[in-house]
Amino acid sequence: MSLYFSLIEGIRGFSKARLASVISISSITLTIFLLGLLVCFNLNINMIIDNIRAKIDLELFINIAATDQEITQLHNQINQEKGVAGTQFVSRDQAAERYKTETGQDIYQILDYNPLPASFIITPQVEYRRSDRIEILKNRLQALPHVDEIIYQRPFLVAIEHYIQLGNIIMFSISAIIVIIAIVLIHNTIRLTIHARRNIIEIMRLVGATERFIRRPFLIEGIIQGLLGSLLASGVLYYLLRAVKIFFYARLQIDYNLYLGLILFGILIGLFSAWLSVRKYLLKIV
Amino acid sequence: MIQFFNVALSFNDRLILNHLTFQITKGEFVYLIGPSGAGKSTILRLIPFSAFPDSGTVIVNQFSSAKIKRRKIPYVRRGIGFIFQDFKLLPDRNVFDNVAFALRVIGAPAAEISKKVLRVLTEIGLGHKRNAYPLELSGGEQQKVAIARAVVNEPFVLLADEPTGNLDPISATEILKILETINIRGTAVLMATHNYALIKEYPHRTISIENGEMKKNEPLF
Repeated sequence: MSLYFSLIEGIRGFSKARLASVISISSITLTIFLLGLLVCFNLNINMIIDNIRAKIDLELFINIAATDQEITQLHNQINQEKGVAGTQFVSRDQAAERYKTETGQDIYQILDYNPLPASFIITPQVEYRRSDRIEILKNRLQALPHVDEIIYQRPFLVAIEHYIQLGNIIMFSISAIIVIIAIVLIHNTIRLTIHARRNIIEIMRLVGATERFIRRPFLIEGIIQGLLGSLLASGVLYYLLRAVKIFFYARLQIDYNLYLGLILFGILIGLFSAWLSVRKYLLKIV
Repeated sequence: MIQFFNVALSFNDRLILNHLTFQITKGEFVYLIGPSGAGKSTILRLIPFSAFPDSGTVIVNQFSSAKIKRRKIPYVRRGIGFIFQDFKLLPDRNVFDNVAFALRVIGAPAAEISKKVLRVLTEIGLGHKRNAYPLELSGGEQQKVAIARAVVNEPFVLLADEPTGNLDPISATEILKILETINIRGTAVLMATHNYALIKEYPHRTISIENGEMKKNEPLF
């Protein structure tokens, strides 16, 4: 009964304070829309970065004195190492070929012999394509017999990670600022509606309504605003991203869980702002 | 039932109540008189714990102003009815809903609400106007609705802050008759008023307040 009453009061309050509701819903719509764009942008950037990371391999150079049998043994040991997804053997002749392809010069014309060692190109597993873990893998491989040297594009990987971190901080800060602005805006709007309904609150208090009961219709109002605002934002975002995918960037990835997350987050923003406003108001009065 | 022990209260360095001691017993009818700003409304605010004394204690049933927890206050208020000079009705709800509001907010079952509201409206003579909105009613009728809302929850005390202040003499007498009936049925009434004619017509113990101090505590006439 009392929950039904709160629901009716919440809906009544929402429909009565139309201007305030429109302001709150617009704030939530804008916030959720911007957040959705940011998340989608981040998701796609991360995917591009993951593709780049996928190309990072380790090259393990084998001691030139190692016999074929020792190389086969080493190959088996490498394949058994945790974090190794695959290996590709590059013989000394293939290394010379590669040298020619890459530099345009024949090694045999520079020297009388081939000084290039045989190597294994090792593809790390996805979770090892991080500067800290790939280094651990490298150290483990380095300890194996007949390994001369292991190289990989460490500066490139470190730079990528640095920019990812920077990007995440910037994105998180922008998101936090957007959310804080929205909460302040909605909080103030709800404060206005509370002020407009101070009579009903006063009567509720006088007839013995608990604070939880007084708070509930406003929280329901906040949830309705959050739900409508985020539904609207998700709708706009859905069509915008679809248009971008069709007309500009076909490789755009859209995670449909994003919309669910945004709707839930919108509801949370509405609920939290309302809770903040009512709590503040009720604390001022006995 | 309601006891004030040495209650003192200041606001912005101005002394509102100065060591006030009195009590109201079960089923009593008491007038609270005094000039404007004497502290009558403050006394009425202290009883439901809408305000707290700086020193001294207010005791309402078993609850003391010195010890009561904030979350317990609503439950004390459920035993207190309030009426005001300006009625404090909700203009967007009809008479029935205004009265039912007091029961709905404490989570009473729907069947009980309907039964109680209709009974109290009939007793107060407004059963036929249950669908009217407050602004469609006269001042006297609006105050009757406010009384119905105050008593529908069967309080042990009814606090009335100048309930006849906005009414013509005939309506004022009518309201007082209703308050008398409520009192006869066992609800105590504490009524702040300036209306000495009514006090004379319906005499009861009168507490007279001046500059926050009690001057008299006996029937005025």
